[in-house]
Amino acid sequence: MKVLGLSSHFHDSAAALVIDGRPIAASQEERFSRRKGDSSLPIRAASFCLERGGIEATDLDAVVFYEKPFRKFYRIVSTSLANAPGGFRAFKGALHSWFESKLWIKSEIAKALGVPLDRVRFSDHHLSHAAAAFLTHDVPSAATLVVDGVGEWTSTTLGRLSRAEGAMVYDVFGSVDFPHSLGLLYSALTAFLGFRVNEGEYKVMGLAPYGQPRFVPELRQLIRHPDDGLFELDLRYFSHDRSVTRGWSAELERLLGPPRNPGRPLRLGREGTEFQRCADIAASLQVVLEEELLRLFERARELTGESVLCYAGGVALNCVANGKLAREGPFSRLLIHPASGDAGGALGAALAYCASHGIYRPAGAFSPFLGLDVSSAEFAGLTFDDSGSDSGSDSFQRTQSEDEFVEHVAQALADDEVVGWMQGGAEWGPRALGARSILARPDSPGQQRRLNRMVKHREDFRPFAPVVLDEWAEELFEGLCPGRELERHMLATVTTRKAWRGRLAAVTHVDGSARVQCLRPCDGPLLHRVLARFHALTGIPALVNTSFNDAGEPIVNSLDDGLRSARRCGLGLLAAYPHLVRPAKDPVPVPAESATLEPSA
Amino acid sequence: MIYIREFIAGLISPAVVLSKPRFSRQLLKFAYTELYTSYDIGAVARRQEGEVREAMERHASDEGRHYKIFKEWAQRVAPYTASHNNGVNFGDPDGVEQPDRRSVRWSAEQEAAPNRRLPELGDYMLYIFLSESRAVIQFKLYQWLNRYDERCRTWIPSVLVDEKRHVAYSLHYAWREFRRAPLARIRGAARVAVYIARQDLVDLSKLIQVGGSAVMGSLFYFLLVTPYGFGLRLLGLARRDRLRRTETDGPVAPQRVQLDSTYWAEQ
Ligand SMILES: [Fe+2]
Ligand SMILES: [Fe+2]
Ligand SMILES: [Fe+2]
Repeated sequence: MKVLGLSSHFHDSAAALVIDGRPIAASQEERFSRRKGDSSLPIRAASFCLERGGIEATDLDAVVFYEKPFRKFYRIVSTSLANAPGGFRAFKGALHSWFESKLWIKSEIAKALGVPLDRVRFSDHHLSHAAAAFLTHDVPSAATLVVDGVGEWTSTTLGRLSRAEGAMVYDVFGSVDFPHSLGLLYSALTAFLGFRVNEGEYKVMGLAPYGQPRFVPELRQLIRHPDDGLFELDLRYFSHDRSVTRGWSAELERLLGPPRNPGRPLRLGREGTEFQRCADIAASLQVVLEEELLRLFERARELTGESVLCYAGGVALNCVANGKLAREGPFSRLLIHPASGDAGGALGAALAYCASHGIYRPAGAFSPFLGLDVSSAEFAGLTFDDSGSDSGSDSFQRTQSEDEFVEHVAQALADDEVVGWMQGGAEWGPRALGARSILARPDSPGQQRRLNRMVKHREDFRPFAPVVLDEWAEELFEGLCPGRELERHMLATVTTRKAWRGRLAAVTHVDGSARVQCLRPCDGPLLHRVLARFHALTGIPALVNTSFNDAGEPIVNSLDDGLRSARRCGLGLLAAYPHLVRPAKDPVPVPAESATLEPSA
Repeated sequence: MIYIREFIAGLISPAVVLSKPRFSRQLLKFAYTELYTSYDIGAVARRQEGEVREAMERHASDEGRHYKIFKEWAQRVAPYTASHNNGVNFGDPDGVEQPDRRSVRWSAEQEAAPNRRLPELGDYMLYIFLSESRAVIQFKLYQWLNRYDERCRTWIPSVLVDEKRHVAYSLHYAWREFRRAPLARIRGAARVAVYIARQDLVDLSKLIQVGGSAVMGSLFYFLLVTPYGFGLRLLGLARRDRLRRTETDGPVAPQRVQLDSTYWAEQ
């Protein structure tokens, strides 16, 4: 059975191909279109998937969209009715975008791919999320908890999935409907803190460790726990269901003070500054979110009686909460899909469709390297093509053996160079896991600042993540999750041991936390060898590992993207086996970047 | 046809300036136009040499500065609108029209960008001349009609100085290229005209579409949705905090979802 899963039109669009239950290829559209957060129909990603699978669109048994658009439209109409005339602008905007495209998704997909209408199928937003986590792990049954902004109607779904002969079984034990939503609560506060919704959530999480949770009592007031529900928001404080410009109300400003002016840079600050107040709110938000999630976890355990939980949805991208919940929560195993956001729904929808026909993924560890594979041939083309004068002053070198390549890269890293690393298939999900990464030495002084300013053009307060040899993880970090399952895909934060904090300065946050990736040889044999060699050279079995992209740019995909980005960022070395490139600097005149915080960029 | 849009935009500018969010959005549009131009010209400059390259690089950096001016201005007028903290719009924050600054850069490298459509320097210079003179007209009208707004009075002239220089230098080079090969250039000018006319047509059809749906949407909203919504609320049938009631609200005994063909067919 050949099934293509699609997600689009709302956030990051993506396509995923599943053949006989096995994920063959998957990618976000933005990686190909090079537009960050591209939400258009993922034609490029879909063609990539079909090509990788060696099939034509007409060979597909089904194309499964990750949610049900009509149900969503019904929710939007209901919201308008309940708020009119309070949400005119929101209504106008929604009407336009729905009638322009969203209502015609079925025929749009059929037409774009050239498949008959009856092969276009629709999953459910939260089933797609849950299935992505459940069907990429080998467990017979598990509780599922999906927490995100909102799907069609629901913002939280608590259920159970089990593999049964003939068809997967899906039970729902409870749900929470829009406008009550932990994801939207987080988004509203993200905007309140002057960051852009859907992008700034990471920044809020990065800001939290700088603060004291002194607003916890206030934030607790935003959430209530009725007897007949899982939770609900006190809507007096919110306006995300009626306003397009802000998700909070004047009442919230009375509670927390004025919102941060997003036009002013947010600089690392001292006591009593705006920075400190924002950090305190962020810290309190983190505490309250964790409390709520723990509550939901306990409910899930109690209602389903399962010992394994598949946890999914946009809120599951909060790796600080994930780490805590894995260690302290009531489940013996916590399973999270590396693409737990909406893009991951494309794969989830396709897997769920297969599973509903009794076709499951063959047992074995799930590999997230499902994207475009960088090939040597592509590089050869670049090397010899001087016509665009683009590759004019890059210096190329082709290594003769893996040993030579590994030695070169490890040496460059030991010499404190910043290295762009491209290897194999691109990662599925928002994190760089060693297929499209920027690597650097974690101990050189000022490394975090250097990378933030020069390479990523982003705020000083945002930390980087380490990649560590799996066998050394316990030595360097404490509080690792059971089986280091989440750390394998960088889904949880842990604590750097005191003795190592100096040597891991660039990847340890102010509170000692680190979002670590524990690298097993099977997840990146070549990177594993580089790390081992770097360890031998420097005594440190870890590196800075950040996604290979410039500010505002999606993660690089092809070698061409990598080379361009490397020039622009001024990387010392671009390593893509067997090639080593010393990129020339990008000569394009560009308006000077301000290194200060600019939330909209 | 090519200056009509600018005249209209200039003429309605007092209405735009009066509303802070609207003005802020307009300024952001200016900002991104400037940024796009900056990247586009930067991309073409890379293929030039000598004094042309210098002039174009200067132009690119001027536009980069204008981007900053407009962006900052937008932020001062209405910080939240300008940062497109677009709320969470029914849980779908998708009304983000303003492209990310870097994404603007990608689009400058796209097939349809003027730097690809008009590969010859003469064509390109003519295109710049026309678009810069459009900018001058629009800014001048803005300034003239909004003299009561202090920022319009003081900030626009600082931009206009540069814009006038852009008009002058692009005309200079366009003319120089034209003299070199008059016949080929006439064809070039036609290409530019077609390119701009096409852009205008696309804009115009978008305007009609958006305007039309805004009118229909308003009628629908205020004549139908609002009274009906009021009615439902009076009867207690629509509540903001409880939009619908289902079997799975809150913790419940398990409801089995049948994953059958009906399920997959439902939109
Ligand atoms: Fe979602
Ligand atoms: Fe300008
Ligand atoms: Fe200009």
